[in-house]
Amino acid sequence: MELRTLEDLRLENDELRQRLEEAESTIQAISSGEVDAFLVHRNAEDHVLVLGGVDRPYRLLIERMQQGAATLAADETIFYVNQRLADLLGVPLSDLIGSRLSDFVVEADRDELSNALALALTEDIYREVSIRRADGIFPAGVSASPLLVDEDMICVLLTDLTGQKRQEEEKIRFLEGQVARVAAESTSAALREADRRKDEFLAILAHELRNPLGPLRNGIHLLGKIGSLEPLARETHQMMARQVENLVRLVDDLLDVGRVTRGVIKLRKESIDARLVLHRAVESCRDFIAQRNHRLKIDLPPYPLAVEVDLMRMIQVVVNLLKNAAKFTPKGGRIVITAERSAESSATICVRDNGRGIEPRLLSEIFDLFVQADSTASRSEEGLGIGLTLSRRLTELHGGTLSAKSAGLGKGSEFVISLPLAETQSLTAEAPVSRASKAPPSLQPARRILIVDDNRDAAGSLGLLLRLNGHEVREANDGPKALVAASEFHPDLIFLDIGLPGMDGYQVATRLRANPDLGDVRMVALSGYGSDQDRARSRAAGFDDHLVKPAEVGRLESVLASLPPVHAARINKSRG
Amino acid sequence: MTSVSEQEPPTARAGAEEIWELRLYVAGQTPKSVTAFKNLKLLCEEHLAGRYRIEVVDLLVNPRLAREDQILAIPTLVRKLPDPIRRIIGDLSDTERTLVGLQLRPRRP
Repeated sequence: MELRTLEDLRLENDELRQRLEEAESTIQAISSGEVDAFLVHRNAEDHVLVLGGVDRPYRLLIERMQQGAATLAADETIFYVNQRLADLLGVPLSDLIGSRLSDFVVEADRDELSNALALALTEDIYREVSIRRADGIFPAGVSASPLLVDEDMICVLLTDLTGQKRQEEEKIRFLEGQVARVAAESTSAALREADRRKDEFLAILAHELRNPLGPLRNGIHLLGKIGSLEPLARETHQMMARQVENLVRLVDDLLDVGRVTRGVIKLRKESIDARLVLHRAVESCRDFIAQRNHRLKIDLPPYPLAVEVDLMRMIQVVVNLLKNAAKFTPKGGRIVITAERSAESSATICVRDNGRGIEPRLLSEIFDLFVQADSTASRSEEGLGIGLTLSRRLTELHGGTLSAKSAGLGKGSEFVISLPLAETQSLTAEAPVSRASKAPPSLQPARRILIVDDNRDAAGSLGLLLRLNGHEVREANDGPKALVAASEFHPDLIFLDIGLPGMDGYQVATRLRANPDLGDVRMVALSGYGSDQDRARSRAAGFDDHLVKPAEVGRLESVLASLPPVHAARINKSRG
Repeated sequence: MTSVSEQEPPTARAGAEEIWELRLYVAGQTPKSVTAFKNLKLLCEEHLAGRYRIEVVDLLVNPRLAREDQILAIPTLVRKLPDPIRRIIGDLSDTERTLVGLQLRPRRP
């Protein structure tokens, strides 16, 4: 009992001493300023009283700013964080204390950040890292500096860069968009320019090709006039005549397609029966089709189909389609051409063959310039691959459409022209006068003719041709010589080339018209250009007529036929 | 790290492998609370490396938690384990006093 009491006293004494120690140490802690908050029990409630201090403004600043702030030990352990950082990292503030900052960084950035934070013990650092949060990853900028007040401590500022990165990306996307647009614009501008140059080149090429064709054509015609009994010479002559006509047609197509592309072609539209178009087209390529032993079936309605078209141009389109069908159908094939009223307001012309057909993938391309459905095979046939392009563009100029159909290779093709019907179905009484008038070639009175052309071959061959028909011909190769020749020779007719070197054809014409002695001379312009504008300019310079080179013999003859009859006074004067 | 030796305080009955459970009562992040945590951390790393756990209790969040350990002033460190419970009041900046309080060092004669 006594022993126990003694033991009890000893324990009690220990406890008292411990309590006293605690009380003493509490007082010591308070008095030495180691404590800055107290628990207060008031009305059975617990409150924490925090001692305010002169550092309050700074604390508020740290707590309220938008960046996350922390102080870290050398091993990155977090001792202090503001509420912003806890919010940014998505972790309760109390859990953050004692954890390591690099635990919140994605694996890939962890070593980089640790190394940087180690450097921050002695210098300022800044790194951009990706922070992992429960709801995803976000970019952040981490700046860290030595916290000089304590050894081996650093202070860290963490900024959420999500908004900034988004802005940067938007800016980059915007700039990329700008760059792409500028690039696309310049590319399309370059393409347009290249396209324009191509058109220009084609026009010049066609024009340049056409010039030498004039004398060739005249020469061949001349050879035909002279005639030869030699069968070889006759055959060769016929071959040359055919090939030159082919060449002229190709160059004409090339010129036409250039004009259509540049929109400088003028249509002379009239109300015309589409059946007439078909008739005339079939007429002009009947031989072409017959040479290939094709059977041609024409199926026309018993009623007229009035369409508003340029007759010559529409014939050109249909001829193209017929020749195309003949070319791409093996010998002995079958070609059908039909016309019908397909709807209330349109006429349909259809050219069908049982020939080579078109691959489905090429159906949309064959109307492109220089595209032929099968380039290797089609090389056996002449053509530049511009006929369909020209035909479609011409049809479109008439407000119509031209489309192609084919069931595939070897299954034949079908080309369909659809044209709007003329509003009134009354037709122009007769077909307009054909370009090549049917004036009888000879039986013309002899004329005095001056030919002015700097191309001596052109002048010479035309001269020969005219002399052969009994005319008296002089040639001059430039403007001044032409003026001299005209006043000496007193011609009835002058063929005057426009493109002369130095003094051009217009100037020569104006000077000739100013000469009263030559008052009634007929002047005909010879030009590589035949637009309405060119013709008007010729008229203004005093020309009576304007022929496009190479002038067909038929045209020359109709010009001669249109000269006034020869009368005595004129003869006397000229012989004087 | 710390081997049993003559200097080992007789009351520190913790073996080398025994985990120390320490609880630090703070009031939000008052300067003394932050300092206390920092000092505790450094001290633990030096004397108890690898065998301690620190629980930080923020009394601003829940003041009633103060009752369990009869907390008066903040910051206060409580040694939950090893027995017996020991309290050290203040920011632990007096290392000598803290070590003695935690019975990691004998009281000076």
